[in-house]
Amino acid sequence: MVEAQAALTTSGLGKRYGRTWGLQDCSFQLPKGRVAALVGPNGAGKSTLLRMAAGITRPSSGDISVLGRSPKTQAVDVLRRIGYLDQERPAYRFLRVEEMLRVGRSLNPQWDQAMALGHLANLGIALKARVGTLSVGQQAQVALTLCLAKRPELLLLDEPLAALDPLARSQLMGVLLRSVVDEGNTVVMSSHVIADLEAVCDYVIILLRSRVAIADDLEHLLASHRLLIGPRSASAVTDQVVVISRTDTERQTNWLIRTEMPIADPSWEVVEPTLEEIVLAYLREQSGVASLPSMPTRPQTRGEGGVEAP
Amino acid sequence: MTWFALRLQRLQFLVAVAALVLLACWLVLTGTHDQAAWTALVHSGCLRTTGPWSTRCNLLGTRFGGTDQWTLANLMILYAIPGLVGVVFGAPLVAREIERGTNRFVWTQSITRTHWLAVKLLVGGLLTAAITGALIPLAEWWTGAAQTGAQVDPKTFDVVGFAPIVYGLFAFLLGAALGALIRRSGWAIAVGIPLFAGARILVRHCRWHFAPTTSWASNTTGASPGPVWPVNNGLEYQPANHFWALQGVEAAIFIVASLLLLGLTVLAARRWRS
Repeated sequence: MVEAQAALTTSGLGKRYGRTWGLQDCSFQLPKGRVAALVGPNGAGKSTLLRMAAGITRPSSGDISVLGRSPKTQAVDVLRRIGYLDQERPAYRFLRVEEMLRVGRSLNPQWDQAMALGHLANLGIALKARVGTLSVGQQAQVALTLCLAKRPELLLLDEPLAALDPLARSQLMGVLLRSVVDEGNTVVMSSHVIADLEAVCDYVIILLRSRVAIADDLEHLLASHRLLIGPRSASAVTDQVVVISRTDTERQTNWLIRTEMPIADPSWEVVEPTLEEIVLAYLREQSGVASLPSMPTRPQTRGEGGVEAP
Repeated sequence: MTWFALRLQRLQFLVAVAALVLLACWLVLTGTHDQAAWTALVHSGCLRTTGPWSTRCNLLGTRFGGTDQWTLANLMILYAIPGLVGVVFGAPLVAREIERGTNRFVWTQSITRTHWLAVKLLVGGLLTAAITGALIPLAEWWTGAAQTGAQVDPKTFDVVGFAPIVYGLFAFLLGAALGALIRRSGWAIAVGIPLFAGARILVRHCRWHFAPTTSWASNTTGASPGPVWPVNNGLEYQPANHFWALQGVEAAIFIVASLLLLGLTVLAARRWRS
């Protein structure tokens, strides 16, 4: 019996679409029990990665292992252990919600009808309603319910929050988090709304230009990055640091760096960045607009920072 | 999965059944009329007269002859239905799921893609067979009533026996294969119908070779062979008792083609990644 500790392992994983690579040389290991945020700009390969994990797409190169199993050779074994929510939330719009539950029940041996009914009742979604007549938020809830009622060990959620209003977003996250607490599932969730992810995730995978830029514990990620704020003349470049991005305002310069060492230089004000700042720094670096002052102000809520808005 | 596959095809099937019922009414109506016109003509004795027809005979003759206009139309409908039903049932089978993205839902449930496809093809195939099969007794009665000719004659041949079911299943798998390859149900239907018609016309054209023919010259006894299918510019004919042999060869050809299309569908659907 396979008893892997990793929920998702990739090595040299790549997917080519014609001449271009949707994902390239992707290697990381996601431990079980984590809630991983999968972030990156559009076209960075987030959906491709999730679809390969779900067995919808076959890799062009490299290997992927889902809960210690191959999505290719142990397809059913993998499929019954995952819950996949597609970005577009495709639905059989003319089917009723209860019919979708019947579909889920007939296609999945571990189906939990009571859980599905409970979720839908809590959300006030009528079983007789046709899926196509529900609001976008309710459709997303139905899709998530269909995922969760499979009782998956690994949830692969592609942009589950996209196009949802704030209330629907928080309801969906509520349902998801309750499941994570109750069932202890591993989650990989892609999103553009980094703030939403920061509250729930403890692992971060950043994809840039079809490659993995970061795959790390959130805690370690935050601890190993520093935001340096100093006069425009200052330079943060030393042997111990990797500069991720630099943004200049009129009076000062902000550097986001990766380092394991404390910063001794007194000309810098050193701040622990938020996940959003780190992700934005990586995205900005790759888009080649590092010098644009796209984030001129620091959030005012920060305790240690004494930075004033210009 | 069976229930699911049935549910997805339910509307299509009900529409086809409704169309079938309408067609049945129309065929019974015209068939009864044709039958009456024919019976009247036969009982009048006009067919045995050698001289010019009386006004009454002309009237009866015109009445029966007048049925030709819809007899031809009805035959066309009966030729078309297996192809239409089959292609329309088959084309969306895989294509609609890919168009709507629902393949990514169903492919991530706890069954393999092959299992999914097998059940869908089986259910769709049975529904197609049910519709085309229901057509056969109706067509057999109607062709008799409308005097469309010997069963071995192509005019009648294509709508009786087991040919319509075989055509229907061939069209269904043609639609399914095109849908899986093109991934657009509309296009699969648009391409499938002419392809089906082409295949039917081609086989129909070759059909008279499928069983040994009898030459009129060899018929020295002078006894009438009964209703036959004249072939080869009328020099030879296929006797009525070759009907099942011809149906068998024709069915075999379409079944082999269907199996190839089945293989193509499975390959295309298994290979397709999104």
